[in-house]
Amino acid sequence: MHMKEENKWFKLDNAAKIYPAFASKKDPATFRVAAVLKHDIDKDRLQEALEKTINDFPSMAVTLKKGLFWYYLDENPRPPLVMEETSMPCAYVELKKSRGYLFHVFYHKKRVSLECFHALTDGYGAFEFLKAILYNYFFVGEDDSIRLVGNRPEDVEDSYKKHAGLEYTEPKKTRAVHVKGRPIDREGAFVHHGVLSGSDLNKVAKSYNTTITVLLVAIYIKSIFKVTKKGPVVITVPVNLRKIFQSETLRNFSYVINVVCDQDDSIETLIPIISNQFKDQLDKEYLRGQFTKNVAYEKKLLLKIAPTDLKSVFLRMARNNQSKKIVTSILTNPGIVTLPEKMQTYVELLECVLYASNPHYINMGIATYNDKMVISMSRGIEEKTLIETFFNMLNDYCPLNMRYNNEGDQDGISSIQR
Amino acid sequence: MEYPVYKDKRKPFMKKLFIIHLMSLVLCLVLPWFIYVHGSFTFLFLAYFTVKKYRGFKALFALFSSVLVMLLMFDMADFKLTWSLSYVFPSFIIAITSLMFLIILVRKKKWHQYYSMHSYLIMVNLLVGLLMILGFMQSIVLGIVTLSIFAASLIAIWIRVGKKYYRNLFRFIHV
Repeated sequence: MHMKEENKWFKLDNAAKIYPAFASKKDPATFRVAAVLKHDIDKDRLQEALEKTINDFPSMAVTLKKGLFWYYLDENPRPPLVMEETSMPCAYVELKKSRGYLFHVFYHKKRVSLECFHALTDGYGAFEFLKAILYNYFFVGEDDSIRLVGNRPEDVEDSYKKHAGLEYTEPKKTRAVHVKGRPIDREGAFVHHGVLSGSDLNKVAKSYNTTITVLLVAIYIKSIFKVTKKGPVVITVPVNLRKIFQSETLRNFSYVINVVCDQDDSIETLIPIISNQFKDQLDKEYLRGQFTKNVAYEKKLLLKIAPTDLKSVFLRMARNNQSKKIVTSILTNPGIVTLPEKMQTYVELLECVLYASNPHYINMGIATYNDKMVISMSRGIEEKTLIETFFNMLNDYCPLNMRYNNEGDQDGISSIQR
Repeated sequence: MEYPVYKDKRKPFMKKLFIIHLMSLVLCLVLPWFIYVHGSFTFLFLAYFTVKKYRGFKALFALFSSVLVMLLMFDMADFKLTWSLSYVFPSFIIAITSLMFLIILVRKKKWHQYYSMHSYLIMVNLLVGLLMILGFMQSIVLGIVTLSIFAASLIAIWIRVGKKYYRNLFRFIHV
């Protein structure tokens, strides 16, 4: 079923409501999914592909508007523009520069990057959109193995509201240690990528009787302890709720679990502790209870009729005084991204990059495609100790095939290959 | 895997401007006449922001609002709001509403995008009514003229733009 012509506007989904309240140049709430191709990008072809794709993804073809009581997403009739990448990844999406869209499509040599404001969608939705753009960039016509259209009602639904229950669950909240440093004087983040074999890392994880994500969280926690010398370390791991709740929405539908470690220990000791926390928090009803609480907040009459600006003040305060204090860093692993076989000839790597802001100055995004796992660590501070520590530690478990970054050398560009 | 060369560094200009503005505000408390300097500075500060952010009618609305804020501040020099509330405020609304009225007549297609501005104008007009009832506005005639022009603009919108406008207005006020 296609959407009605006059119905092209959306209330923000439950998770999205907080982002417009706090997002700024210093705290941009922007993430990037990118594809590194085997050849240089043709700008005109990419522009055509983007214009074709946006017509089939109404949830992306919107702009953010400020209503009297809530922000909302309104249809955007202007065609989006692809832009040459000139600024650092994950900078604030300025509507004036993006023709009103909540995303940017950048290109630079072999890389196509889709940077999204989190109010629009999450990592899954962004990857689906990027895949469709790439498909339309390479081919004409349809393919059953890829979603090229996202205009069914279930593609644009607010799945939080649909799957909310009646009972809440209260998570354990611990004040977390933060990674300190001198903030960088640029918008966006520096990114350090490490590439390794997904299957090799999986073998290592299996030898510890665990999963890749748990192993990476354990190594990351150990690195943070080594740098900060104190705890507790709390790693936030976003969870894609679509598989758990059978949803196909392209809008936000993820929640987070917090992995807490009070003291430094060996990997062998950390892994079962982390595994148990994953197991407890990945329980379907526990997760439902978490977002049910947020959905219920949204339905409170007092909150509904409060003016947008007033709500924004409170949401910002809640974020600064609560949410930010209980997290050390974010690690997101959207899992293995698959592309149709005929696309694989053209795509070398996929990347997933998170924004970095005070106090979560260093975060990690992981994307795996064709057995190539790209670990992207974003950095909003000058100090690189944690990143070096993590990659060195990871290298001891599973050798990295390649490392590269966007730091630039004297000439401005660097691509470190091992 | 290459990334481009980045040149844009963060410019702390706005932060500095904000600090100067705050200092100017403190100075007003020590030197009452300084409110005229502070008012002018506030106008420049707001005008810079709004012109940078908005275009067209929205920019004009914001610029008018900046002038209004400046005049309200000037009127605050004697710790009373007199001529600004009675004359400047309604004049400001009359000017904006008339402009809006004109745009409705000549740019029908474009108009449906301005429902947010119109919603704010509704609220400002309600404020005029409230100020009249509470006796803060000395010029009742001007107040009545303001509200009448506004009512006329509502009718004009209904006739010229109709359904689409009210559909957008519904989006704007959804709960």
